[in-house]
Amino acid sequence: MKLCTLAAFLLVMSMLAVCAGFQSVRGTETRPWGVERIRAYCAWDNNLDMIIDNVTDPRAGQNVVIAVIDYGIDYLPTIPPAYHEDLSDNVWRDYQGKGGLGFKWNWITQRVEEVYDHRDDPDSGNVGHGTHVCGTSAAVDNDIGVIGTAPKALIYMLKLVTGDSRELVAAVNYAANMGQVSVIVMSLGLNGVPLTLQGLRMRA
Amino acid sequence: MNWGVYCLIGLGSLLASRSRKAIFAVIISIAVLGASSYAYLASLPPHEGPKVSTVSPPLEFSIQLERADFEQGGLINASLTLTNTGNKTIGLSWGNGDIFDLIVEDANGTRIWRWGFFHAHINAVVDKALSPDGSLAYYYWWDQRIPFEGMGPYPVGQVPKGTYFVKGSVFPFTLNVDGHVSNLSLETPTIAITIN
Repeated sequence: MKLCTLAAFLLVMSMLAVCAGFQSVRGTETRPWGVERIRAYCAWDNNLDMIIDNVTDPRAGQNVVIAVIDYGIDYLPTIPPAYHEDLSDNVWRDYQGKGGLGFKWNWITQRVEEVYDHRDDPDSGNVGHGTHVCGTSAAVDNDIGVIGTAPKALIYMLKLVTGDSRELVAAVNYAANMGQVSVIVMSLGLNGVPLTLQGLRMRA
Repeated sequence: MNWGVYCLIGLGSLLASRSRKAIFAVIISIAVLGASSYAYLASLPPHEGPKVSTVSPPLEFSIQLERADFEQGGLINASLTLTNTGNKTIGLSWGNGDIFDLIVEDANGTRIWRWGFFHAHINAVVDKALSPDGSLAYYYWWDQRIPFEGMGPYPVGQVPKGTYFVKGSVFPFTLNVDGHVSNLSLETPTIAITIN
């Protein structure tokens, strides 16, 4: 009888442990809504223990660079040595050590300028969105915050300064020409699709 | 010796002859005139151009331009403002980052340019709360150019001189007043502008 009780207790506890595993990764780290919805963890967590092991590294995005085209990223707050605990380790740095590049349409010169401005702008109406998208894409697997869809991937922010579609075209072209980039993420929309952008999508 | 002494010596040598004194006086006069002119212009209230509104209680939506006449190739700036004219705090919700739109039509009433068509918006639900007399204001601009094909009859590039009509619109949104929810979209009357 005691043996049966012990077995039942162990069964219940193991079920609770599995359920807990589905709810959180490690410590206080959680899966954001989008990662949960597509069950991204199934790609890199064979035994559902919520820990990425070496075998599944490639499926977690190891050696993959993701270009995120959005309105900036907050991975390195103003006051060093503070940093974004869920993004900083997964930011891909270019040859100048920058984690991104900005594109700004200059209506006077009628050209898109490349500017070293890839930070989230607190005064913008779009503040936080780019950082959120980067987190959903590739937030680091650690004990805090959230985990991304591909937590081993590296992210590079291509910021649209004003959102002009000419900036968008420049950013997509830049990402396509970078060589290192395997994935372009754009959580953006237009009310209508200019023909140029349709062709651009095919090229990318 | 400190910098003050250097300046005094420099000033003394500058004022050593009559012609130098005259040049110095002219420079000082120009500097004073420029500074006073700048101060006067800066103290003037900003120039307010044409403004039109549409009212849908408890909301008022308006568009204001700097002026109605523009040089060809210039920038047309517009201020779009949504104001809560009621006496209760209201909730507003949009399905994505497109909140306002600036629309340009030609003399035939054909839409030739829209901010929302040529600018990317974020894919995120946007929720705003407006207290009584609170407002949402955004600034938009048009450089008189068609950036890409795909909208309107004009080719890519500068639009021709002539009369155009500008208006603002609020993309469809959900209005919540004391738990009463309604779906709305607003559009202002047009403002006629001339590109010379």
